[in-house]
Amino acid sequence: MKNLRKEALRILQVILVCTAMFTAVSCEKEEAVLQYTNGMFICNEGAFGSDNASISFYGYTTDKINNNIYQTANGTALGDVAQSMNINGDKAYIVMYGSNKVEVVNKLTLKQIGVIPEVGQPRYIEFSGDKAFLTCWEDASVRVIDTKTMKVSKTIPVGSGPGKMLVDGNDLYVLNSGGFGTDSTIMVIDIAKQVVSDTIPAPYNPYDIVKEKNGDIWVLCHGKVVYGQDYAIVEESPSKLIKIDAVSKKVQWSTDLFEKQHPWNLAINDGELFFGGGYGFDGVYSISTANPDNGFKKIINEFAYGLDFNTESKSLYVTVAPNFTGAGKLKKYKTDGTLEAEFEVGIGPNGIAY
Amino acid sequence: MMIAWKTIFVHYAQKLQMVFLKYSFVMIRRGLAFILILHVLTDVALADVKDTVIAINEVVAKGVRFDRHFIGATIITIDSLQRESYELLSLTDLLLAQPAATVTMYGPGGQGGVKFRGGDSDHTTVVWNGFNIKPPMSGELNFSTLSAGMFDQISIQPGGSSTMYGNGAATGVLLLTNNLKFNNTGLSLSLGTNAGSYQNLGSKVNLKYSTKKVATKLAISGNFAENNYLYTAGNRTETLQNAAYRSYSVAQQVAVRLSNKSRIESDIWWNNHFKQIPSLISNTKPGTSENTGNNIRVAVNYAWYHAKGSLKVRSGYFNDQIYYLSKDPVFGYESNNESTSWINEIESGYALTNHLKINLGGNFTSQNAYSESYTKKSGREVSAIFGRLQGDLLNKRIQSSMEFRQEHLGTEFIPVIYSLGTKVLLTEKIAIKGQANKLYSLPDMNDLFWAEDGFSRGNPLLKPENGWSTEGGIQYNINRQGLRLNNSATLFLTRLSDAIIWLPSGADGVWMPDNYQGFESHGLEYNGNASFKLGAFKTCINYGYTYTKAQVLGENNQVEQKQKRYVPKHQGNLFLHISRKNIAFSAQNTWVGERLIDEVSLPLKPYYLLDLAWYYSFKLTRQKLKASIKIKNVLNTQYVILNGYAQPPITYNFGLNYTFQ
Repeated sequence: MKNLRKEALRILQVILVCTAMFTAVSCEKEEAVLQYTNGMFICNEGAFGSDNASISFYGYTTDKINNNIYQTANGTALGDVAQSMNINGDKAYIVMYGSNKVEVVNKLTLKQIGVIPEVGQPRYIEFSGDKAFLTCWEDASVRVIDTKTMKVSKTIPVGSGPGKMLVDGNDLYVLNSGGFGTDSTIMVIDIAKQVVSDTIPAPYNPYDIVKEKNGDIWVLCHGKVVYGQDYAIVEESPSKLIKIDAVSKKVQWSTDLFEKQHPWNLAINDGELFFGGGYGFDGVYSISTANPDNGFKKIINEFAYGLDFNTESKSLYVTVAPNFTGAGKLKKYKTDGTLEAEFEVGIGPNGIAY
Repeated sequence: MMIAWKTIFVHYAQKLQMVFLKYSFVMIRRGLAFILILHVLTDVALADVKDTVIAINEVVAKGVRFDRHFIGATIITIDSLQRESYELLSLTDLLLAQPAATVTMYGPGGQGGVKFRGGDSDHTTVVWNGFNIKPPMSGELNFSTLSAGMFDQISIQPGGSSTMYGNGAATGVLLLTNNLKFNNTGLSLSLGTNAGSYQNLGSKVNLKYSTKKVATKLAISGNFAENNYLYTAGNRTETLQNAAYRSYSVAQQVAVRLSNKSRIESDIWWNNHFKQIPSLISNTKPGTSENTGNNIRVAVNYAWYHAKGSLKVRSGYFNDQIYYLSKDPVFGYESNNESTSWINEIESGYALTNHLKINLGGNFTSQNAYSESYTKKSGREVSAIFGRLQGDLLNKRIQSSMEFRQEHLGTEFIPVIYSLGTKVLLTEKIAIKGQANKLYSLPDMNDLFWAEDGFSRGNPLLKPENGWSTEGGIQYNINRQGLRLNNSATLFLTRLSDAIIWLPSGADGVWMPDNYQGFESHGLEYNGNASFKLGAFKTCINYGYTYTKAQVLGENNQVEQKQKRYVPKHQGNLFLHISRKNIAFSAQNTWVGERLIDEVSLPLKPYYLLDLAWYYSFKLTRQKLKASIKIKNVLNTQYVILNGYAQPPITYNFGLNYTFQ
């Protein structure tokens, strides 16, 4: 009898141990890690001061959107106002204007690799070799960042409201967009020496810049708008499009766009420029780079917030922000303005990265 | 013959006996009902069952508009024991533990707002001793500047009450009342101090004096903390910076009984609140902003009671100043803001019959605001007449009222608003009630007059928000020796249109307010409390649960599917207080369900908080010394009230309170 009891106890112990092991093993299931390939990212600003910026992903072949992918990958919110996103090698850099940081993530999984902290009001980031260049509004500067250590190695003072940039060989073009005021300069930084080597006078508030295959550089200038009391505009200058010669660093050609409308974004595809986007600007327009004097035409009727041409998928993408509390939209167009598809994305989508 | 007369006599005697018994029974029943009605004490107030006779010997009644009030409405008076445990904390902290209230708070001491039934913070108004003190500039009172210990009674009235209190009482009212009593108790003194985590220190002094003709109270309090607690943001653990606050308050009340029928009272209340504003937790730089608020409230109340009714006259002056400073290198600026309100009101009640009463009143409010962020010094004058007809049947088993309010703003009349309410006592213990209201809420002065600053501007063309609400409920109460039990369940429905929302608009994308589609909400509020003795232990339990479905109105006023931002569908609370002789223990359980922060982002997770407190009293003749140990957030829960703002982890607090009576 005693032996039977002992045996029963032993069997019970074995069963318990096995159950515990089985439970432990089954609890150790690996979480499936999502991978974001063959597509592009959409940068959603969120509402200022609400800590609800996000990143979406659009798959070219799946033709589907995944939203909130940073929060899904990392289990924590991204932060406040995702101003822009850029990709360098296997990393993606998300510039967080409201959170004063740049999130560095794995571009396939969006898992956080590191953070570049305490960069005051950052706007856009570009790369050359192992260096990153980050425009910051707080002190009107370009921060030079070592991409291996993710530390700021130098601060280069530039003009007011430094925004988008373009890397052209050893030249870094920095658009001084004026911030909440005005500026009318484009600065050129010598990348090797990390100093301002040239200052190009430009129309008011240069906002966006693209480069053609032949080396010409095009800049969209927003124009100046000044409000007085009782909300009336007391001073206004037209928006403009200019072409800069990359060798002489001089404005070769210039045209007025609109007297009283002020687009924000510029994109390029094989000799055709697209411009539009920004608060309250109606439409997307195109103009030939070969014959710019022939004028421009409206190809899309839309209040776009962001505008990009994706050279991978050969499509024109327009982001729409109907408000800053609800979902925005990503609209995919052919270059003739034909709408191909429409998707719901995060709040305040302002651009794409791929 | 004799036998016949005897038979007849007995027959009629029996009939008389039957009649006597019948009417005695009715009289006894009526008497019992009357006694029950008079003596039902409830924290889920059956506020409208108080008799019309005001015993001014004992109670100086303010903070309620008519002798019989809120017929059909839900009023939740916060239990005194629960209030005591938050005595040196702010109203925001106290309201966080109330299920009918949805609180938004930017951290301890930070801007705290409260909303009800799916509305926004500026749809809640605050009534202090009868005065609507909703700030004219922002429309939101910062409850973190108000100490919970400054008031003798704090009540919540979820639901619309625009007819009674005017502008701003669209989805809820917070009633703050100070009651002075002519109870001839002489001098009483209460001193309290506490110290706790994150360099928190607080103190209070309450001095009261009462005779048969004069009552006075002086209340002084101060509270400050560094709030340098740890918080987690992703992979970072940081110490919160730039989050300190300091708050001071002084209130003096004097009441004089002029005669057996009349009294006059003055109230002066000053408070000062300084708060550093931390940055969002995702921000790698500490905050650089701070604000300082200074509020002065001066009021006079006169009341005269006569055989058929009453006459009340009140006048108040309210001055709110806020100084805001940002040291941000790009957005840095400073701004001085000041508003004044002058409120004058008269109301009279008259009993037309024993069962029918009419009340009429008039209000004139003048408001001015000055801000460096405004286009100009701005102001408005609002006049109103309001009235009420109330009656009862069947010995007050059925009570009903109709109210109206007509306001005149500037050169325009605002459409008349009205409300209807009724209550029926089905039995001694069970009552059903209901009400329906028209609502409105004027744009705030910030909405109207904010000057262009490159980022935002006001809109002088805004229309008032407007809508309606309705509710119906059942109450069940038991009050007998050894047990007091009160329960109330209410279903509600609210719809508000032309909601004022700030959004980027126009060619320049500058943020500007405009009238958009509003919202619709419906739900259930369940509240209750129980007091009883278990052996030598006195026990008090308060409990509540609220379900709110609040949805934004889209195009064509169709309800959109998603829940309104920061309105939890579910929230609940349970407060337990047990005492025996000199020892007491309390536990506050708070649970808030999932909340959306916008249409797209992942929602904020539900959270559960547990606060515990132990008390020990040393009693001497007329003196009592009470020591307390409190632990807030015992489980060290990481929780989020407002996305991006760190809330404190486990917090310890030690207190000492001395009372002399």
